[in-house]
Amino acid sequence: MQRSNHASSSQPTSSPHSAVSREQQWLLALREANTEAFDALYGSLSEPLLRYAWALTRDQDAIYDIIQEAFLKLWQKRAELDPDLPIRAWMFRVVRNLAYKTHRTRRIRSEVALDIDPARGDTPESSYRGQELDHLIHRWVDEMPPRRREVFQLSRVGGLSHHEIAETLAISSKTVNNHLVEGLRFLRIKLRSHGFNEQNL
Amino acid sequence: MNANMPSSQDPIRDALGALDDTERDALAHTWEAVRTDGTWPGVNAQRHADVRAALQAAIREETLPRPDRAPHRAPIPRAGRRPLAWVGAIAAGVVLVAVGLGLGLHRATITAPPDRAQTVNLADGSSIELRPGASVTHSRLRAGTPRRVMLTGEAYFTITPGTRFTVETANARIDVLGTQFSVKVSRPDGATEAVTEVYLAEGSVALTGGATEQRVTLAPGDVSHVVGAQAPVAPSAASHADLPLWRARQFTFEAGAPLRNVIAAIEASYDLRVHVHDPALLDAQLPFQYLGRNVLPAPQLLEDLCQILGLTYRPTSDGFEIVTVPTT
Repeated sequence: MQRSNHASSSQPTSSPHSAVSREQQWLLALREANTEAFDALYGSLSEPLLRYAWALTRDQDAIYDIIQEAFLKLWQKRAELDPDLPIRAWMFRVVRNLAYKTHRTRRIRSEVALDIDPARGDTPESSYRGQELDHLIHRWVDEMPPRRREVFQLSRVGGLSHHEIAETLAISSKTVNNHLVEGLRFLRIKLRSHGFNEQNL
Repeated sequence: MNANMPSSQDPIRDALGALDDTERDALAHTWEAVRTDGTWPGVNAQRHADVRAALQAAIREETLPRPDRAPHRAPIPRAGRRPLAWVGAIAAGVVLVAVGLGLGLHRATITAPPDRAQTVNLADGSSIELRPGASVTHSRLRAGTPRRVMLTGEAYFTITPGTRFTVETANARIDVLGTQFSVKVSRPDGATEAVTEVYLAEGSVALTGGATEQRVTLAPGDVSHVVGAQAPVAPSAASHADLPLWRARQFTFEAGAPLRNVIAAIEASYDLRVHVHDPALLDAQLPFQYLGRNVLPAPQLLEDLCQILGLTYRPTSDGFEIVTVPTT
């Protein structure tokens, strides 16, 4: 079975209309238990979903388990899925729930908590190096209110469209907009306070 | 539109559309700075391929259990007989008890119904023939790692050569490489410890006692067993009693055999109990030799026998009861 071009792209953060409509076509075939459509969806969605799971868990091992479980769920639920709703959004929602489930299990076992990177220092100044910017951004995203953080991650890591984010989180498109703009304003302030500006970014 | 504005396919574009130019440009810059998660370690190609292979194997196996002999349907009751409702329910259920369902979210259990054996065919060509009432649990569907199943009850394994395979029981582990063998896990009456017995038909297996890590290697025709947490006993040549005769399920009862012997044979082959309402019936003798067909579901066997003896039977919570109520 062939991987789609979209899947092998190094830019999973975009979801061109053609890719989305292709995914919806695969969903239709999947409803008829078409295994090639299932594999094509894996090719198309697995990397953005892995990135998203990574953003939520920071656990290199768990993310593959999460993805496997999410796709198994897709296969099991294939007949119940509404072909008019974006499968991308549905899968992101499943991954999100599984990631939080993983988080709950870990918390019970007193392991590291979701979205906390133990390698990161507590003081931004001390850890501020070029390569630390990613960690800083990650932490700032963590500081956002939960719903805003989710919108932001779905957009940033998952590359979901407004419509898909709205579907995934069951909120309005306008709310998605507001969260994204507010999230960016917040990050811009944080970046500036750490010496980043439009010139040196 | 500023040149730094994200592309038209970027999800941020609409969000910034309503802002004034200055802020839009500033936030577009911010977006460009944060849009990539630089901590992302990248796709681990091996894990990615493993998950893909495991998923493909899982959806292939979803159709399991696939009986290769006996149909799952309950026998159609004859007029005047009570329908075997519970048999139907079990057969219909057949008891793909899947934890997390069907494909098993990492775990799937297949249990043979109490009145017939069940064969589980694995994607690599291996098969597991479950004795009535036995069950196996797949512990994980990840390609590239040895297949590992947990067994309760008794089963006969035929493993494709070259396949790494491990059977775990309550108190032992059997490591396999392309072979045929049977494993029986039981708790003898009154015993608290599990007993795992292994008979090797072909190839080679290593048996490890759960708590000891001591292992013995069996040659074809050997048997060995593990009692509780002890080390496995030294392998020895199998006797007739060690052979997995339940697989053949050939029922041959000589003329004059008392019903009690017939019932004992049925109970030994199936995971069910046969009660007799009137103890005097246990001495009822078969008027002629009975040759049961190979792989006969229990209800069919009972139906034949009851017809011969002029009796009838009805299902109970744990099997059947033979009674003298005449059929009309």
